[in-house]
Order: sequence, then structure tokens, then C-alpha cells
Amino acid sequence: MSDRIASLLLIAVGAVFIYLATQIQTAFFSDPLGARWVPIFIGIFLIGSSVALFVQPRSTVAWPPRETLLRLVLTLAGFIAYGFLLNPLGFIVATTIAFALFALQFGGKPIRAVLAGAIFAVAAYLLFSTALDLYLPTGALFERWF
Amino acid sequence: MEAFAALLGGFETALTVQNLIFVFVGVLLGTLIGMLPGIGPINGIAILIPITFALDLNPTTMLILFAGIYYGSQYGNSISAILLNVPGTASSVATTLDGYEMAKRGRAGPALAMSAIASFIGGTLSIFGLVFLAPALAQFAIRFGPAEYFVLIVFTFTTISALTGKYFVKGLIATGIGLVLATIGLDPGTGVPRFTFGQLPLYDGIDFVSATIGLFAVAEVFQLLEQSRIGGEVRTKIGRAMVSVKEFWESFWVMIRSALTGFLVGTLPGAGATIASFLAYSNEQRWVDKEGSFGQGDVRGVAAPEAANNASVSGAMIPLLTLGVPGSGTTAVMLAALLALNLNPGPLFIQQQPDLFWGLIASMYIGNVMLLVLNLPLVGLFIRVLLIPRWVLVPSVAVIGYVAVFSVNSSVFDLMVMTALGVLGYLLRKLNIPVAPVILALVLGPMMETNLRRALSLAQGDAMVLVGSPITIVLWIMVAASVILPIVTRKNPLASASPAAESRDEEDAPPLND
Repeated sequence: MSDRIASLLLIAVGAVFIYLATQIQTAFFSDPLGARWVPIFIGIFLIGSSVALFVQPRSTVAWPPRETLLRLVLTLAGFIAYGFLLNPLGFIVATTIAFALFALQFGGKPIRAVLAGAIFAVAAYLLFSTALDLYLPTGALFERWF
Repeated sequence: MEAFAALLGGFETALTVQNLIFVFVGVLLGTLIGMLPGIGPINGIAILIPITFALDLNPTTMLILFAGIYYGSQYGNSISAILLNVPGTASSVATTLDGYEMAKRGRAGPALAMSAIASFIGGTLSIFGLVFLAPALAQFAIRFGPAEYFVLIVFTFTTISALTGKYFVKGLIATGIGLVLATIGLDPGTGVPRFTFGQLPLYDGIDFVSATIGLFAVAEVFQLLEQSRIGGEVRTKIGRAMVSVKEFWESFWVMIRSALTGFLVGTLPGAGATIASFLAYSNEQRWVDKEGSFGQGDVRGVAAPEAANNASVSGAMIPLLTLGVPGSGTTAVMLAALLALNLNPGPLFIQQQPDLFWGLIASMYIGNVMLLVLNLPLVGLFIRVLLIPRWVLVPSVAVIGYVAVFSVNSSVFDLMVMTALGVLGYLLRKLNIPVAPVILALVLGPMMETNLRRALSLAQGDAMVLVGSPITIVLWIMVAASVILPIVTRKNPLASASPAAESRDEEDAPPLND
């Protein structure tokens, strides 16, 4: 069943992809094939292999129970929020929060999770930003004071 | 003799202080990455790419580091396979069969020692293969024009679709998804934007670092969440890590044969370390296991897969370095990193970049010696790493992946692309669709399109150019064979060696609890 649903979704993706490919503006001077045709072939290829899967679905998938699903969504929300909080809160605070949230999902105890997150965030900041010279945001909140 | 002189020059490159430091860092990280279930070499390399760019490492040092991670992980993955019955990466699944049995019988020390020795023999022997086969293949590939390259890439796609994962059709779907992602961005031929939806960050296409970390590391975090149970207890008491002389000689030819098998399998696109290790294991079981002791803690059952999976790494470097067409996810990421530095591996690469090629080869010898030391007397130290609880380890990996992606462009948009691909990667794994072909198609897609269009341009649009030379015809026959064989046999031809090899692709770290 999961295979069938996935193949239908992929067929839809392929169809939209081909439609969008036909809408690509082409340059005046172009090679014989142009910018449109390779994507169109790729779309046909994706639809073709998805149809083959639809006709003969291969395996059943054991989807996680509702409780696990909830934790998955929570973790996903954590990933997204981490990205958006990185600039306003700065790396250290955002990372402490994200780390603690992930750690809780994996069975860490709350206080330990926050503590480990804070230690890890500071260590990572020192390693990546100071030692390896990668840019990490200090955070709009803190820049006033620094 | 010429190769010998060149190799001496390579040692000159590899023995500089900087390169020695980075080969050591590479093999050390490789051992750790290989050992920890859930992180494979592909994640490790993708995470390090922005760091190497920030440190302004020269390409030779970068490649030495990445290769060190790649072959180092093939040493480390057996440690958790033997002690925990949990393979560190999929290519040590075969090692669990006898390795864990030995550990259960109190012979963890000899198992670890045999695995390190077999890895060393497989690793160093296969470098000879690389030294001799790579220049020969490069010589041959000079004749490749755009049409030949196009068909070669098609062949790579069909082979990886057939050989990774359980079902051919799902491999094809994975390739299709990767190709769709690859078309996003400016058209390589005419420069018009395609599928960018007016989003400026998409004009450069999907960044391969975000894609790799999303599809592998983030997806792995989601998958680990589902598995509450952790593998068996860590056996920290391993006794002396040494094998007896008798055991060594018993396994000697097993290792030599398995190294050869592993090397040859490694050169094939899509085959890689996992298939190599299973093939070697089942071959040796057929040839030397007269008493039926394989699977009962036979030391030769550890030697065979470990020699093979290490040898396959050298094999996998060949198409990367001589054709510029990698055959696996990990080598695809290495290619993407080289391309980002404006280096185009291909038939002339060895001649144009002798320092890089021979320096890399020499560093692999040095790295294997370092690994032997790390994995024999010092293995006890590594075992402690396995004691880190999962609630610390998984968030750490997630955060480091995040930092790596963010540091490429300092862009939150990239982080969202990474997260979205993480969800995609999770869904694909659940559906048993292999992930490695997605990343391979993402990296090779633009190259395929460029070569196809160049070939057609040169022929004024005549499609017959695609079958216009003996090489293209031979390659098309190989494409046909790689499509027809899996359909006719209804099985993954190489991985059918063992049921456990199915549905695992090389870079997919196996679940913690199986």
C-alpha cells in the first residue's frame, strides 16, 4: 500500500516536473537539445519507473505508532526552529535549546540534557568559530553587549 | 619502474608535516566514524568539506584526509560489529556473523586483532591494484569523448540502481529523484534558470553538502528515534588483542583472495564495500569451510569480509580518479568537493596532478600502518567511545551537521533544504528505496546533461553520435546487461550472496538494533 501511494505521488511529481520543464524560457542561441529536453526525459524516466512500482508493489512498510510519530514531528519542528532561531538567539543559546530538545527525545534526563547541551554548545562554538574559523552567529540579542 | 619513481615522489608529498597530520586525523576520525553506528564515512566527509574549505587546505591534503576517513571507517566498523553485534556501517554486517560469535565465546581480542590484520592486508594489497590499474584505465579513457562519457554515466546509474537495495525498480526511482534534484538551478548549457521558483538561493542548485547531510545524517536521526532498543551490552573486557600464528596462517590465503575480490568489486559502480564483504564471506565459506564452522566463531569468517571491505575502498577510488565518474555515494561526495575546488578528475588527472595522485597513494600506505597501530594495541581506548550514551551522541551529530551546512553559505535557506531532504531521506528508507543513488545522481546529473548536449552539438544534433563509436556500443551493451540481468534473475546479482545484504546500501548505516 505504501509503495502504491509513493508511486502515485512520484508520478504526480514527475508530471508537474515535465509541465514546468515545458515552461522553461529558452535562450535564443541554444544547442540542439536546449534547456528543456533533458528535464523532460528525466520526468518521463521518473514516471516510468514509478508506474512499474505501482503495477508491482514490492514491500509493506511498518510505519511507527502514533506516539513515535509525534516524537518525529517534534524533532522535525526542532530542526526547523533551530534554523530560524540561530540568527536571533545566536549559536550558543539556539544550540543549547536544540541539543536539549533532541537529547530529551533520545531519553536524556531534563537537567542533564540542558547541561550537556550548554557544554556542547560552548565547546562547539570555541572549536568551529575560534579554532576553525567558521562563521557562527553570536546572536542579535547579545551583539548589543559585545 | 616508472610507477616506483612516481611513488617515491608521492611519499615526498605525503611525508610533509601537514599531510602526516591530516592522514592521522583522517584515519582517527575514520575509525571513530566507522565504529559509531549511525554515522558513516559519507556523513563524516560531507561534514568536513566546509571545514577543509575554511582552513584553505590544498586539494592533495583534502583528498588525503577524506580517503583516510573512507578506509579508516572500514577498520572501525568491525569494532562495534564484534563487540556489540551492531555493525558500525553496513559493510561490516558480514563481520558480525563470526566476530560476535567469537566475542560471545570470550575471544573478542583475537577477533579484533584478526579484523585489524585482515583490514591491513586488504587495504595495503589493494593499493597495489590501484597503482597499476588506475594509470592503465586512464590511458584507455583518453579516447572518451562527450558521447562516451554520457553513456558511461548512464551505465553508472543503471548499475548502482541494480546493485544497491533490494529492488531494481526502487534503485531506478532513487536515481530519478536525484536527477530531478540535479536539474534545479541554472541550466549548464544556456544559463537559464530552471525549477528555481524565483528563489535566488536555488540558482546555484541544491548544495551537495546540505543534500548529503540531509539525506544521510538528518534522516538517520529520524530513523534512530524510531528504535528505542539499543544493541547488546558493550564487552569492555576483550583480553589480549592478538591472534596465534596458527590462526594467522590459516587465514592467510583467505585474506589474499578476499582482498582481490574486494578490490575488483570495489571498482564496479554501485557495488562497494557491503557487497564485497558478503561476496568474500560466502566465497570463503564455500571454499575453505569444510567443517561448517563459519558462523560459529571461525576466525576466517572475520578475516574474509574485513580484507574485502577495506580492499574495495582502493577499488572505488579508481573510477573517481581516472574517469571522474564515481560509483558510490561516498566517492560522489569526494568528487563534488574536488569540483568545488575547480579540479576535474579524468583521464589526464594523474599526469596533470601527479603530486595529488601519488601523494594520495603514499598516504594510503602510511594511513594503513597508522590504522594497524590504532586498531591493535590501542583498540581498548576506542571501545570507551562506544560507552557514550545515545542521548548525547545523536544530538551532537545533528548539531555538527547543522554547523557544517550553515557554514557553507551562512544561509538558513540551506538549513531548510537540508531538513526537507532529511524528511525525504527518512521516507525513502522507510520505503526501502536506497539513498546512495540519489546523491550519485545529484552529483553526476549535470555532468550527464553537459556531455549529452555537447555530444549532440558537435554532431549538429545527430543522435546517432551516441552509438557512433565502438566504445559507446560496448558501453550500451553493458547498460543493457545491467538492466536485463536484475530483471531476469529478479535478484540483486551480487548481494544475493546473503539475504542480509539486500536492502542495505553501502552508505546506509544499518539500524542499531538488529
